[in-house]
Amino acid sequence: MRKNEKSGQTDYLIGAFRLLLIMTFTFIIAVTSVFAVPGAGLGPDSEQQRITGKVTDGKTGEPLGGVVVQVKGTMTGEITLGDGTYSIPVTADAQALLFSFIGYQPQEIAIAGRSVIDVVMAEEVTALEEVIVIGYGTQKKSLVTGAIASVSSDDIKNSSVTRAEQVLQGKAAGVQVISTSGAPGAEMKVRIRGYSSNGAADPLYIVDGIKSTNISFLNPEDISNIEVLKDAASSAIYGAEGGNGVILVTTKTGKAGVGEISYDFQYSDQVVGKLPEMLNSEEYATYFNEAGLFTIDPATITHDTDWLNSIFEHGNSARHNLSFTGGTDKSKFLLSVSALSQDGIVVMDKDSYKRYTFRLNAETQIKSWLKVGTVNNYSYTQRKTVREDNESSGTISAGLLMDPLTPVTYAADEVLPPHVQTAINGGKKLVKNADGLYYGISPYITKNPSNPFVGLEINNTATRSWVLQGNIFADIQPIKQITFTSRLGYEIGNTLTDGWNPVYFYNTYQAFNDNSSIVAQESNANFWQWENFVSYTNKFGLHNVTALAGMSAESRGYQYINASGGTMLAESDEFAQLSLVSSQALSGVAGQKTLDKKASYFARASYDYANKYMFQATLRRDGAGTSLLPPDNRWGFFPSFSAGWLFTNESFMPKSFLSYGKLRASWGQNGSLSNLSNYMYNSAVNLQYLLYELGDNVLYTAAARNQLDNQDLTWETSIQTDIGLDLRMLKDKLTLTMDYFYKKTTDLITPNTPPLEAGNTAAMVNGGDILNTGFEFMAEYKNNKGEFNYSISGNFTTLHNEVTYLNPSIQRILGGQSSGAATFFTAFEKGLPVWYFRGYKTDGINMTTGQANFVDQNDDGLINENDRVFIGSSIPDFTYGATVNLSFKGFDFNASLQGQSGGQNMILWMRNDLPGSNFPKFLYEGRWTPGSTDATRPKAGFNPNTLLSDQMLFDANFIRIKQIQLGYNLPQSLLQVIKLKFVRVYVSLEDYFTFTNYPGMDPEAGSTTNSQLGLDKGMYPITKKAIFGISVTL
Amino acid sequence: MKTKYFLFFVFSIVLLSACEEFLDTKQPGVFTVDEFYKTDQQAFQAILGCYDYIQNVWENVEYVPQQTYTMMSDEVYAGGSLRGDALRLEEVNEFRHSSNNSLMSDLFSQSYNGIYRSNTILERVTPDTDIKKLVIAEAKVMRAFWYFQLVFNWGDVPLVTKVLAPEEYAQPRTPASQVWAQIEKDLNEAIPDLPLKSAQSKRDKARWSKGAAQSLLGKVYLFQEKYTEAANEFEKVIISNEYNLYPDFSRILRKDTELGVESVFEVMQPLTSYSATNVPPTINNVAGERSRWQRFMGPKGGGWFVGNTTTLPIGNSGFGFWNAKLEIYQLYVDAGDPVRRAGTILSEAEVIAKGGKLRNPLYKTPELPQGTLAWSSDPCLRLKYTNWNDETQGPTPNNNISTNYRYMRFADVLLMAAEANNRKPSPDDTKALQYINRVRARVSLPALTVTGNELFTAIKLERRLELMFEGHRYLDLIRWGDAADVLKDCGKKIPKGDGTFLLIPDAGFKERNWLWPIPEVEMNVNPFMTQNPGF
Repeated sequence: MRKNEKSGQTDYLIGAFRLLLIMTFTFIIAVTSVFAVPGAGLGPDSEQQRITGKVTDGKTGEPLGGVVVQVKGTMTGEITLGDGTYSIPVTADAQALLFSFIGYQPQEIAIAGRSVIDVVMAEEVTALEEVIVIGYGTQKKSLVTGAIASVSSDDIKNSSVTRAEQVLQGKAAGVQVISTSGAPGAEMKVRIRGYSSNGAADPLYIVDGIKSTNISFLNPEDISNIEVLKDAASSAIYGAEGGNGVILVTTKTGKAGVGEISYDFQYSDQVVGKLPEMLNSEEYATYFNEAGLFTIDPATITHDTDWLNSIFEHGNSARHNLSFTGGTDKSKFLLSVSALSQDGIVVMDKDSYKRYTFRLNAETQIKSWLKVGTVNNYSYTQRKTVREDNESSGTISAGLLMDPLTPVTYAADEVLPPHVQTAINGGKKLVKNADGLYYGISPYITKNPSNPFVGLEINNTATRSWVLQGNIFADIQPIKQITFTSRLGYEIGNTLTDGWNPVYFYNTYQAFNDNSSIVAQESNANFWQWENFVSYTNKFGLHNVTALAGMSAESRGYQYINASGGTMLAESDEFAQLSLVSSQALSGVAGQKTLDKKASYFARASYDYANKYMFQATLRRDGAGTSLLPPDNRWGFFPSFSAGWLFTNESFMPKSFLSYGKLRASWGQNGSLSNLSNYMYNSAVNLQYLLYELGDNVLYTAAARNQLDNQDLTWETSIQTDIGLDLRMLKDKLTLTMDYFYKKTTDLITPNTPPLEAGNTAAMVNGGDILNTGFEFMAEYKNNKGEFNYSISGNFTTLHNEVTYLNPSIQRILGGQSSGAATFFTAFEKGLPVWYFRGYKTDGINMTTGQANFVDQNDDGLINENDRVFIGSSIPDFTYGATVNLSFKGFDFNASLQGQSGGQNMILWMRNDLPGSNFPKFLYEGRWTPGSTDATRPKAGFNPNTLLSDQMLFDANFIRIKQIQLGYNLPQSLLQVIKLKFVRVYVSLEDYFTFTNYPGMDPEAGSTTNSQLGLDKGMYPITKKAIFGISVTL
Repeated sequence: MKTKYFLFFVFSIVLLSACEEFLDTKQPGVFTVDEFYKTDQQAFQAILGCYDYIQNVWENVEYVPQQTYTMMSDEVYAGGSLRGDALRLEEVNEFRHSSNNSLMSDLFSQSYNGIYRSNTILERVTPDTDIKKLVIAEAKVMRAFWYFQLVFNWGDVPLVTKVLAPEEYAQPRTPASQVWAQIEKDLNEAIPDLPLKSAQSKRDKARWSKGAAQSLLGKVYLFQEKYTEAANEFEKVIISNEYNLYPDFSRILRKDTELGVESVFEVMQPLTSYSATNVPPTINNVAGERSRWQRFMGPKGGGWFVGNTTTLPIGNSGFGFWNAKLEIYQLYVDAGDPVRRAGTILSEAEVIAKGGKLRNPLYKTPELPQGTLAWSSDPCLRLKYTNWNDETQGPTPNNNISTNYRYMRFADVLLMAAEANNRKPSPDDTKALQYINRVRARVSLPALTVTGNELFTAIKLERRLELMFEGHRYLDLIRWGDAADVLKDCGKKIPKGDGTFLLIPDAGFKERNWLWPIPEVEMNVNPFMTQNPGF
């Protein structure tokens, strides 16, 4: 076990080294190619003179150190010293010098023959002049009329995020990022403004203009900024697929100026947080003796295993990031390489995540009217996972449910229990640990779960992905007001999951395998997207006009091939090759291809008068390929309108504490197709997997229609109204943003339940409406006292979610299921939140019977399915986040928290059909015993209705301190000595403190399945991380 | 410098237009409904789709019709690991089911799925070749087969004889008499086009033969108490000499007698079957082809039942969902029927004598020092449709029982013929005695001589002894009108395994149980549907 960890680290170092080599070569090639055009010749020969001078702050008159001074159009650059002075060599043909410094406006000053140039730097104007990215363009923040949240690289820097979407966690109102699992590399669920579908409600990701199904391939350090388009007016430019909101990710690029080399390193140590309390041996014996299931004599107890704690250890992750940026005013580039390696907190190295990325972003103004460029990201990820979110055979649920009387392993000198000895005598291959000790087998649990260590020991599966994602674009500017852009985006991904299953035995139920086998699954995704659009910008006096029109076409192909074979010639990684099997008798193959296409036209017009009155309209017409919608209904039309009034620019507004005030309103429609794929509307004759054996014992292929027809299927549409107010006051120190939204999803694409005599599986139908409304509030206060800078910001979101209409042919749709209880725990129904918990209400404990009093809703004297009702919902009433930043001289401190309130989780790792599996302590402590008068929990044993009742429902409120970080920036004086531009070291605690009363695994740890919101089936817990990091810029 | 204008012009024209055809992709891996159902091969594949649906329904873990019927008889307890493990089975076993019991609602929807497949064939296949004529005849038998289940269990049900358009999905109930008439019509139309069993190739013995369709038609008449017509149909089958009784009663449901001399119609359970847990090529995903129910119904393993490889070769990893009642053992003892007893049920002493056991030492209690029986079971072992070690496929025993379900076997036909002859307006007890005694002779029982109602009583007992655990008892009790009397206490006392009982006071057959409840989902979505009384 330890050996593996070591070799894993060696692999990783070799991998990193290889990448460095590749990176170096590519860097050389890239730099030569990008800068071949402007021409070389910047050698010392052409040096003719030096220019010197001093740079000062315009406000204070103090000298400014660290200002970048650059000769325009070249790579030549220097930095001003602590006293503000500089000296830079220039050639005879040099025209101008460029001065830039963070927080100040960059300046370009003509040399005009001078040899001494002193410069006064002005502080950067208010953040309102910032430009933010919107779909197919950018816009001045002050003029934005939609609801857009923005997160910049500053928020990403130095946090321990391994996935880009984590950056948004707790940072933006109306954006809920749910870490359902803490496993290395686990996906997050992002929900923008509520849950607008009963199926997939993931936002649309656009990375550098390219549509992307997820953003796991991104190195978070490569991200320059993320914009979240929340309201319909902002996202309507993405029409058909913007219904669940849009997340625009822009990656970094070089800046005109001196070349920079940055290196970041971060190491984090990870441990498990609070765990649910389960019964110990003594309590277990007491409980099950009482339940009448076993008769365990406490004197015979020899083990007391804390299974849950035994499956966790320290985890760690290390991250390296090296980037090179540079450019002239014509050409810019960024080259970065990163390596991430994480070993999770479950024992053994079966939970790990590795990611190597390589990025090249470059652009050049090749002609005065033509700019070309490209962004490219190549990533390799390797992920190993332990089974979670599974109440039957997950590692985590096994840790919860194994009985404490069974040891992890039997000691070397221990007499094996009879059931173990019997299995060994019967020739069964029991699993041993590295020291040759047999893992414990429970005599009490005859079905699953089984010893979680065995599940880990026999797990030899890893998933590896290679993704190349990027685009190549050209901007043509025939006249100043018009730009034509043609952009070809691509994403080519390969995923390979392979592994092998040894022969093992763990119990007679399901935990055994008599035949070793090798399995491999390879899938290939192939996406291209071609977009062409023209934009027009002009100014007529105080009238500003921008217009945009364009088209987009895309194609997404997917193919997979599965293969498996056995018996293995030897059980090891080296023999896990499909050609190495003892015969082909057990081999199998499978494979399938799909192809989805879309085409769109879009247009946008913006107008503002004197920066006071803003109007914007967008239209998008989307066409879905035959694979998604029937040809007659394939075109959807999605309009939006918005307006803004910057009332503080009105002359009648008195000058007051209010420095900026804008009122916004928007309305628009968006679509969503995320619940559609693969001709779901069409009835066709299927021959796949239809086999019937006739009298000659040969399987013949049969044929049948796969489903009913629905040629009326059409777009799911969401209609959203947003009213917002942006304020800045107290000399811009205080910023407030408020939004109210009303978002209704109609024609929800949903499965149908037609009358049974229709005779086949239903096609998808447009079935219902969902309403999400809420209020979003964000505030930030920034100030400084001398060198002490501080800022406090917070956000708060309320959410009301309700299904407002369901197709009359559908009573309710049933969702989350537990495989054991074979009943449904969640449902989708008119008048209630999406996927609410449906179960029995209880009214205390009956002190005579010891059972919960299940409420007989229809008073028919029976407790049956008809008495199940709404008992709760996992959707929180409100979510919030807060951040504090402090800095003094070289020190900085920041802390942030995230929380939610009003939602519930249902504990579902308990199963009534697994007799003998362990119980949580809360069912033990308040339980009824004969003579009880104040019991809060039913008597020992399992009434199946208890599992389906509010007895298992708990508030999932929590406050989590996401980050507490202390950093130190080396002073300029020291930096000059060591010839570095910037050095920062920091320590940080992340997810370290969580305040919650939830007795399950983690309040955030609901199932990842959409229809099983908030069902706690034993998720990988979110880890507590202690982090050290260093950033260096050269 | 003009280049830029030219480029801009070209780009604008070419790139800002896209064509409709770009969006058209042909659905891969399927045929359109219009292009299929044309050739003999396609017609053959389509009719196999109908057979496959029957198999699909019969292969499952729980939703096997004869299991529901058996649960609703006086033959078994629902079993499982403990109370609640088999909620749906417990409900029907104790007649506490409501309209959302999935065993029942699934049979309702599955029947209509089978009918849909037949209807598609009957609408789409033209009878222009012999193969297609045969396919059409089989599709009609299959439609009758499904409607028989529907009308018997639910009474008035929607009669759908075509593929419905979306606006026609919701259908009203059709009077049962019309449904029965359609069943008779379909069978009568099909019979002339079906081959004799002897004319079928080995391969086609798995398909409907003339004799099988005639037997089904006879059964349909019998269930409507049209005894004369029933006797006539059964007579055709018996005098055809296409069928006979297999000499060894203990092997009539076993692998080696499949599609044999006694077989009238069987639901095929394929030899080439795999399960998800023990064979690597799960990716072949023939999951729909495996037959797991026999293992699930097999005696409860996990420390309770252990067999013996030679004298009691039954796997010890069953789930124990069909636990035979001990009174059944006594029934055979009282009837003096040792041959059929030995092929049907073993007492605990017999299990031990054969080197097996039924009790789990880990569950021993002070009162029961030798250990307890599995939950909800009596000290006896059921032998029909259980997980025989030598009938499993794949490397791991017990998982894939490939033994076919005998939907109708010749002994059943003989006993139904006896009943029809005894009960018809002009009774022919000579013939009735001839048929029942033929069944008794096989198991070395003396010939009966009683007539009239006494003979009818004897036929009832004979059916019970002969067809125990084969899924016929419940249907017989209902059609004879005996259910209220025989089943009134069914499920009131569930053995806990340690000699004590769980009492379920509200269990037992009630007036409403003559019919099954219309599924809740159907009630919720079909405005024309009415519920059966009492649900």
